[in-house]
Amino acid sequence: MRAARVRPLTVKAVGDGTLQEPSDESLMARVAQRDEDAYRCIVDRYLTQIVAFAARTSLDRGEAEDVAQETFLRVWKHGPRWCQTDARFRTWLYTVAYNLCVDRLRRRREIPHNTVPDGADPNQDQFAVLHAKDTAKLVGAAIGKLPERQRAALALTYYQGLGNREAAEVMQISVEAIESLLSRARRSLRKSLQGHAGDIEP
Amino acid sequence: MSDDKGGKMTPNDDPISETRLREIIAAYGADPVRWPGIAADHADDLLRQYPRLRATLSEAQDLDAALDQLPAPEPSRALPARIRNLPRAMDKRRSPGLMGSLMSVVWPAVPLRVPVSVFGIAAALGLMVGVLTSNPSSDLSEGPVLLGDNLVSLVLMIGDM
Repeated sequence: MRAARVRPLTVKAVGDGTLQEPSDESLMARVAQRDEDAYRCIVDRYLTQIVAFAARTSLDRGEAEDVAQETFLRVWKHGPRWCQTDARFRTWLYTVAYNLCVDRLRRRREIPHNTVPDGADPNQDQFAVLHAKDTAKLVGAAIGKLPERQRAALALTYYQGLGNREAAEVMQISVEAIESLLSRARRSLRKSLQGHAGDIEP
Repeated sequence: MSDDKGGKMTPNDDPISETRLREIIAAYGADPVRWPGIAADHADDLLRQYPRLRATLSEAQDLDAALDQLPAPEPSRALPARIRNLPRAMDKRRSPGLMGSLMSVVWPAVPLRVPVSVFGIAAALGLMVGVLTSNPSSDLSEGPVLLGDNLVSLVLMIGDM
């Protein structure tokens, strides 16, 4: 099946002269018409976020990338179907990714260990880099010990910046339940990290 | 960023109690950007109103600082290109190839398996007829036993193929 070429993607100028990116929803309308350029825009916009979310839900990097690939495959395959719903695109995307993460974690049924990516600033001195890595390892390990739903709630709200209502929608629970998961997660993290207070860089 | 209980606080709104603000800090951390709507909008006022929460806020700030040390996992270099090209890869996997294209010209509007099956059955029948007629001893008058032998040898032949 050849992708139909729709109108080229343009960045609109709004009233004050600033440029406005096309919305997710308008891009998805084009994806539904098999527009590969629109699909690629969606990938560029969300790939890093989805990989980060999957990795922070404590999948290793390889699995996080598999989840991302499967998520975007569904964007392409189910684009036309998504366009018939009222769901906000970002919420739907995270829901797909979350469900894939949960499936994998349930299949694995073991305590995951967070892999800490090498994201150190090259300008930091050697000692600072080691220190930051140690801290990241401690934090990663503490997050890895959290129950699956607490990790997901923390990843969605703290790291991915979703609102509590949107995060609740992604996890298909109430806002109160999200808040409770977050409180418990932060309490556990504080307890886990308390023993290493001297090792954590302020 | 949090959007529950959003909107502006008006004189008619229920004020946020100290207990509620403590819960909000416990769940969302020290940065008001992450607090739900009304609390985020009035963070400074609320913190001024409840000075006893300074210690709670300070604890939350320490935890936020630790959480911020965890770097964002980046996708590997090959991943973006692989995912960007998924539609093409899917199209390629679905494309019928040379044989499939030829078959669709010869026998359009039916799935490929139909002409393939018909061709297979025709070949098997042709083979059977060929074997039966090329054997000089395959005289039907020799009776059902010989015919049966021929069929068995045919089945064995097909099995060997």
